[in-house]
Amino acid sequence: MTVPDYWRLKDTRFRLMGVKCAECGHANFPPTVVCPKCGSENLEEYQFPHEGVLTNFTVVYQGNQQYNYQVPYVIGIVELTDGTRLTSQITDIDPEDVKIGMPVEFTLRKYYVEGDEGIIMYGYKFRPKLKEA
Amino acid sequence: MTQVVVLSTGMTKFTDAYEFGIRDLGMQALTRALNNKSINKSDLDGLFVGNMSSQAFTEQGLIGPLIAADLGMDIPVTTVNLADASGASAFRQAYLSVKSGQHDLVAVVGVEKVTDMLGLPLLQGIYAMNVLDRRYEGQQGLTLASAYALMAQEHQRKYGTTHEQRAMVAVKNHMNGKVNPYAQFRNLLKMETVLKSKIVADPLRLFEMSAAGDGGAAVLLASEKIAKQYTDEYIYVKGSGQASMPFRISDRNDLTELLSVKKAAQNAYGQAAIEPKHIHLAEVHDSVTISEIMTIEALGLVKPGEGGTATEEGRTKRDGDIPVNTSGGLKARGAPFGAVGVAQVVEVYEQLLGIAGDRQIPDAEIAITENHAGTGVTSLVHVFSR
Repeated sequence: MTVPDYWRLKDTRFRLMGVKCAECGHANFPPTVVCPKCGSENLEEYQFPHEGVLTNFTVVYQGNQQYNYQVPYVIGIVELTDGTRLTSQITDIDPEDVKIGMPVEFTLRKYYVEGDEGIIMYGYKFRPKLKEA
Repeated sequence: MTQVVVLSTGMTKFTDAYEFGIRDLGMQALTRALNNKSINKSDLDGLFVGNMSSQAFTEQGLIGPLIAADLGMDIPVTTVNLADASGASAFRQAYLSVKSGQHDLVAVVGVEKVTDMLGLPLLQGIYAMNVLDRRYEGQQGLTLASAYALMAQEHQRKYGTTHEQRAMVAVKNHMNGKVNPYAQFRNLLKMETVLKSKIVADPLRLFEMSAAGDGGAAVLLASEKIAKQYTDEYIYVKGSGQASMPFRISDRNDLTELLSVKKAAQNAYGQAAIEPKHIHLAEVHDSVTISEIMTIEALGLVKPGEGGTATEEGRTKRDGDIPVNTSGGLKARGAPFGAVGVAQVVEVYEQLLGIAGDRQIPDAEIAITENHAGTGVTSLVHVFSR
């Protein structure tokens, strides 16, 4: 991944920022420059919720390229509290303790490093929701 | 309306063909298709080449024009990329070009050279770049196997599909590959071997996946009128359907249903005026065992949720009521991405003409092929008759 590409995606990757259509109210994940529901280009900033539940998951034992050293890892589909669904790794938990329906929350983590000279890539992962203090 | 027919086929053996490059495989397949019916290459008026990733795998682009130029042809050439559905997509474009009357006699070549790229994680990475949303799935660590694993888990939860039922897909396809001279794997596979193979993404195991391999496949298409000038031995293309569904797996409302396959099938069946019960055999996209199970359900060959039990009961074997992947499928015949969809047509051609040898399904009259990209973001279904 190149630096401009990484830079362009940073708000979504680092904070789950996106856009919401000013015409029809749809917030698409990932954010797009045209609303896929109504075709409007009139979009407003939108903060996706940082909490949700895990609806599906699997444990990966053989990863591609940069991820192969991280196996086994858990990847699944998270449904955020506003109904948005996205694919994310589930971290800070042993694979055998992961359950469907588990409350999860956003956390910023390292994805992988692109060789000795490439960028260190960060982005969202989800972890079990911490108990409220 | 013009009736479009497949009048010849040619293939290379699917294998790790270290002695051949991508241009060799494409050239061999096309030349064999021409020579099988003694057709001169100068009679072709169009060439459609299906290929997924010649740039990434072999550092060579414009693969269609390269193959044409190597053969000294100056006809219109189109290279079609639709990941592992490139072959069927090239076939569909060729079919439409003849159906529309624009071309009379065209060739379709599906070709992929994979094994110049050494190292499985690297190879799988290139495949993943082709079929997953790189920035919102791939970079998060989703793999094609783990995407299918999510689908398999959901199928298991909803319908009770078992590990043994999935494994049976691989066992059955190896039984067919054993009697296919073009097949990459001609060995029988034991259920136990599949079940005990290394786990890739829970619940899917290594021997449930198709393997890396190289190969080329070619077919010639013409209007029936033109075909008759060369041969009486041909099959009809009765329908061509294609449909798409959400790209990202997280955007799909039901992970157990291949909606694009279902829609493409309805489209193709409608053109051919057939129903699933009329189909004698099917070549489908079994890149992973669960893919075959979900595909035969979406094609209406079995009821939703019954793909696993149908496989377990032997209904999809060569002597079953709906033989699936008599070629050995992607699992045993092999899965050189861009060549898959064309190789499926080669199998159907041999079956419908009664020249499939030990794999022959007696009295096969209507057959279908189904080829999809990745986990089915876009799918193609073709109906053929004798």
